Amino acid sequence: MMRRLSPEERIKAAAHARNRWKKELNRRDVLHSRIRLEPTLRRRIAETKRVHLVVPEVFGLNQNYSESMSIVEQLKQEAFAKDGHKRIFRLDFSQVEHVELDAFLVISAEIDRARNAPGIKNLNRFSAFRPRLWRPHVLAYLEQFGFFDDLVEYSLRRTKRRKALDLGFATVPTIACAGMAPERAGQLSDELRNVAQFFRHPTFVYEGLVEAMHNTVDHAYRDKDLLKYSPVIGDWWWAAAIYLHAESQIQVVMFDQGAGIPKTLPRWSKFEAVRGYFDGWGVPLDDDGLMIRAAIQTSRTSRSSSDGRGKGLGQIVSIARELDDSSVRILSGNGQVIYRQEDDVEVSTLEKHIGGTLIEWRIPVHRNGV
Amino acid sequence: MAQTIKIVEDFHPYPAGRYPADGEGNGTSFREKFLVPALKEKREVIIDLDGAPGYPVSFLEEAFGGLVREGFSPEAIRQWIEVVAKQPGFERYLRHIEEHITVAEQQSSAKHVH
Repeated sequence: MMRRLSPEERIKAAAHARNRWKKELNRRDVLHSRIRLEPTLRRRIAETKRVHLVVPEVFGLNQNYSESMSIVEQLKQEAFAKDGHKRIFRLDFSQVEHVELDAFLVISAEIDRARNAPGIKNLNRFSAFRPRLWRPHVLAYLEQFGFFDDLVEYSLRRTKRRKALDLGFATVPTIACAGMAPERAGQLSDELRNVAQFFRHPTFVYEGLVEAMHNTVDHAYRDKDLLKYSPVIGDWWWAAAIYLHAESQIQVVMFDQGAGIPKTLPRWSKFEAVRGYFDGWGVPLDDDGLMIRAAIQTSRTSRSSSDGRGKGLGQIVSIARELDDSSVRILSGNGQVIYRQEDDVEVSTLEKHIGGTLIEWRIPVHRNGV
Repeated sequence: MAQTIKIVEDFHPYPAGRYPADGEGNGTSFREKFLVPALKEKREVIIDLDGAPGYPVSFLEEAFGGLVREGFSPEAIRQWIEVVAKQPGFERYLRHIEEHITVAEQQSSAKHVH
């Protein structure tokens, strides 16, 4: 037999029915919205390409130039495809056992450009692919340089930062800067004294960085026709440094995405002196490594021009002459030159164009204070 | 009594570059502000290099070599301007400055001969 509901029960039943009705209306609303938007969603998904970049086991320009630069070149080609697609780059470091500062700086700079260059700005995003599978020391290395602070999205909860010496290195985070900024060079050389307390030669680092900066501002980006990929607006350069405890060595690296020393030399006021070296060597003027060598020799040995200019390149490598066990490596265009001592200079041709100019200083840190 | 000018305190903490377009710590500005007035007024100055993060060649050459290009003789420069550096490793800058003055003089003489 049916029972009559009390007034309170009738109120509760009515409220319950009203809630069910509201939920049904919401469900229909969401469904209809999705149906309306779905073609747009489908189109947006189709316009976004996913690019999987697998970084090689040894990621370094010294030990594995070809494979390391292949990834960088792949990144650039995709980022500058200009096909209207947005791209999500998934950076896969799961194979990596060893990272060198030179390759790290180049890829950081290229990611920076892919995110900010005119014409492709906001089209490219970068994310870490399966960071749980990356070696802990590789993750820590990238993290300490600020790789995930702004450049690459990293969804895994950050592990606590370990003390630098647990990993055998201490870093000075990457600097990205446009134009002359000697205070940034000064701050970097000060930071080096913080991470390597026995470091006694910060003046060479400051002077080398400032003269390299000068070179970038005066020459690297002047002639846009010489640049294969559009640079970020301004005379941009990137720098970073690391102290390697086991090697008792500091490495400082600087990179720009300009045309390179060999390409810009013909506009230099001392180009005739450079040409004179090639005449003396009896080789044609088309070897990038020899062009760099000749430019530095000219800067170091020839008399100043009437306005006093032209000595900066020579100062970039002066530490190799003045400090035992130090070296300076310059990669520009397709050429590489390594200065160790006054007469120990190695010139070689790179398998691929580096896409600018990279300078690396390696300086010993003697813990006995010498 | 000679006036002492400490570059990092009285001019700029990061000396670098040749021209004003290179930044506030450039060699031209340093020369015009401190060295040229001292030479014009025949007033002794002591330039103290200590405390700087370093001295790029472009700064030193423009500051001191530029004096010769402005018409001041090396003898006058050495008479009125004394450069001092007590910080370890900074003595090399004294040699560099002397070289810049000498080379600028040679360049200047070569220009007049031609």
